[in-house]
Amino acid sequence: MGTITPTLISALERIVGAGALYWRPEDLLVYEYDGTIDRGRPSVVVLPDSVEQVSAIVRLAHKHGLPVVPRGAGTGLSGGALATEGGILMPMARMRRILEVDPVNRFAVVEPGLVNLELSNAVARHGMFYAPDPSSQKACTIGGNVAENAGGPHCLALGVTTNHVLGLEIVLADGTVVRTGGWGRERPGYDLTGVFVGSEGTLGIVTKVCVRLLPLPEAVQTFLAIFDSLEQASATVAAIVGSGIVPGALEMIDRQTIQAVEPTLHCGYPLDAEAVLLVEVEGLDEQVAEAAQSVTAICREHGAREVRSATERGAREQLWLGRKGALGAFGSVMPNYYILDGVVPPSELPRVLEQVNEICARFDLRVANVFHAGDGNLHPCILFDERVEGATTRVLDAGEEIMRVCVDAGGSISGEHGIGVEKREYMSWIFTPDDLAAMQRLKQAFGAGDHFNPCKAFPTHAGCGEVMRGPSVAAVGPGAYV
Amino acid sequence: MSLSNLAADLQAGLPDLAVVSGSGADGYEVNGLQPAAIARPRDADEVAALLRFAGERGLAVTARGGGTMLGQGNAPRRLDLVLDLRRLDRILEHRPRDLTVTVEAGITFGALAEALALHGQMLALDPPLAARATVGGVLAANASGPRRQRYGTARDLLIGSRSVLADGTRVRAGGKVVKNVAGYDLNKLLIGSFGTLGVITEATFKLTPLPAALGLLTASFDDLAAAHAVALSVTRSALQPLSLELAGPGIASRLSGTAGAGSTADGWLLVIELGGSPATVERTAHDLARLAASGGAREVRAQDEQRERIMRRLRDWGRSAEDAAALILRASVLPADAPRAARALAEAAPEGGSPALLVRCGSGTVLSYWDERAAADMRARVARLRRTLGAIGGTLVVEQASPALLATVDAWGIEGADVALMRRVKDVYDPRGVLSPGRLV
Repeated sequence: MGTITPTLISALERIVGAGALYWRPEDLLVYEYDGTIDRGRPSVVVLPDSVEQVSAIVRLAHKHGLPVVPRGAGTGLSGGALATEGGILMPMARMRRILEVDPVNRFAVVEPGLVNLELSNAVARHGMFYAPDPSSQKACTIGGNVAENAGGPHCLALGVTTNHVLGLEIVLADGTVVRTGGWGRERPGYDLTGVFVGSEGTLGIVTKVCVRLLPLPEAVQTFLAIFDSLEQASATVAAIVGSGIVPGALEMIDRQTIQAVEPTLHCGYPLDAEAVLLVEVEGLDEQVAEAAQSVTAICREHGAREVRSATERGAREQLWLGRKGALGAFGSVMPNYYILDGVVPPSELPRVLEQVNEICARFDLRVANVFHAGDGNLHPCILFDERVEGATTRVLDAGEEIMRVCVDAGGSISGEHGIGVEKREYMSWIFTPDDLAAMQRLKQAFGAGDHFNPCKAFPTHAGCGEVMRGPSVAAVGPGAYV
Repeated sequence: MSLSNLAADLQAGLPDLAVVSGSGADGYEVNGLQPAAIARPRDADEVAALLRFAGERGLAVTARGGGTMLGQGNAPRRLDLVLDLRRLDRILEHRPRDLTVTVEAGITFGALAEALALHGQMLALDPPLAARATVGGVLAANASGPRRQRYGTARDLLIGSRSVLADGTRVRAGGKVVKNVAGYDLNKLLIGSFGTLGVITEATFKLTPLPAALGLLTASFDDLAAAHAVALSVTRSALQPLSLELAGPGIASRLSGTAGAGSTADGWLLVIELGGSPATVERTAHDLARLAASGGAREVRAQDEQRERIMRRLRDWGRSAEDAAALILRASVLPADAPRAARALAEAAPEGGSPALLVRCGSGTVLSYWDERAAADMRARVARLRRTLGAIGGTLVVEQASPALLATVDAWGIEGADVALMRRVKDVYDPRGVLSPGRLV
């Protein structure tokens, strides 16, 4: 691995200009973190402003044997944006322009550093929106979303990031700029865009993204159903999914979460409830009216003690408040959290949730569940205090057991947070050595080697270093999302 | 080893594998190439064994399902064996409550649709010739139909796969849950790869509930511009029709069966398929009829009883006996540029002729269907069309053609840095060129 020399620093400065790179330890410190409990310190942080600069930096890094790690807003939950092996960290914060909005052909071309929500806000005047809505959408970037194939509450009906990316401009390890996909048109040949989305920054650096825009729905209605038992709530989820209604979002919030959010956010969730479901239906007026009837009926049949609903934006946002602010609110309960991301078939939810709670009880840990129930995407959130001796180890051990439960239930080790550093060793639970080798061949085709985000997303090899883990476990509070 | 001994050699090497040669291999040619032998494996292990056999001997293999898209793409540079996957035809696991299904790749699309319909569900793809097309073939060809307007294409519905790579390695990608980001998404690479990277043996899909009600609305227009403007306004609205097809003169007139499709010989017919709850369908039909009328439609008709027939014909156009085309060219442009592409295609016709045109409005796909006479000597015209379409960022694919024409034109017509990357992808997954070499890149 190469080292940082004054010559390299000045070469980088010539590319990006003074003020767009950091190498002093006190400056690097703030780039050590993302949303996980892992840390990694880059050797140098460089902020490019154009594809030409990205290409020049990548070529220079290649020459010096330094890895390049792209970074969006650092909201990631698997360590994807951490320079765990040192090298050049490349935040895309300066490349945040909306380059083109084409409402007729329903796409937009944006730079990777653009904040997700800013895109939807910018195209709203055309009556359109960008569908994937990670809970961190006020902060996370489109480039980061592409790297992680991010999801979000509304991905149940509309699909995740990969379903909405129509083309990419990427810089390969040798500095070559490649445009993939048809950018609003069909393009024959291998789907390089599709295979790049979700590659966690390991194949190249994204410098432009062409995304699909959708027309805003005519009507939206949000329901909050309150349950006295977790089993009833999860049975309701399974019933709604199985009924043929495809809600825009179907989220579950359990008692621990309610207890945490209600005192601070005052969202109107009853403190004695065991679970609440948030169901959002959208579409034409008629469609929403019909879905509303079915959803209400299913909730009541499954023992909901109360079903509230709202159609006005403000009132809907009030119902969503506890969901969106959950992680931040956990700070009032415990100083630290460890957020998991597993997927199971929705029909397995009742059994799996029970096991999650059993595991955490056995490890003497508090767990809050707030998650995308409709697609079976669990986010058990373990609340703890890192200052208690052995707590972090117990948390990680419980987390591993929970992941096993998801895999045993026919699911996966990540629905939307990515593998990153956190789960790279779990990959062999669901993939054979042959499967993993087949994936590695793609790195070869892209000429990526270990040039980009090394030692991520796959089981580690000999060259990978130890990841710093704790004692600075991620603290909860404002700016934390799931 | 001489190719004449290939079948015997293969049978000796893999005694349990069903091998056919001689007259049994009739009907198995690929773009005019005749394979020396046909293998009909029963499972993925046999597929893997066959590919290892082929790899060791430097043989070239083309995998096939129902053969409905087998003519698409360039003729393989070499062809020794055809791998017929139709015996892998089982539904392995249907989880109605989770809206997922796992099937073997050789099951026909029609058989799967029938089984799913019993549970009120569907795999939301409508490829041509569904009764014959296999699931694996639909994936490999990335085949789609009118309903992509609403449901997207295979890449939006495939959540997991098992395949056998060229060297016989068995590989799994994705899983059985609808949301999954573990590992590179190799499913995407397999979709539309035309069997050049691996042989798909198993696929898991996300399912969609069958719409409770369906309907069909047709609106006839004198000119393309007006019809297309209406279609574009629909794509920008909150209305969500299942299909949004614009049929040109050569098709519009022939869609009229006994009940008529509301078209005259020289006009354009906007065909809109609706689906959802009865109230949604009614409301959508009402809004669309108004949009079409104010957009200059000569006549708007509800044709619910004709829906099935008309949509089947649009799905299968150019490929079924009643409207077989000698040549199918597919232009892909931005949706707003579809009229320009349609004009360019019409102008490319030789004196006195014109292709039948069909615009898939939401995706900017313009399909053109040519008869024998027009199809002859297309080489220069395809090159000219590619220049015209290339100027607006579009592409032209030769989707179905005679082997003679395919010998003189590239079926895909794409260039760029991404094509070089695609070649590297092919090279790392199939370095020996076992799987249909030359068919795609």
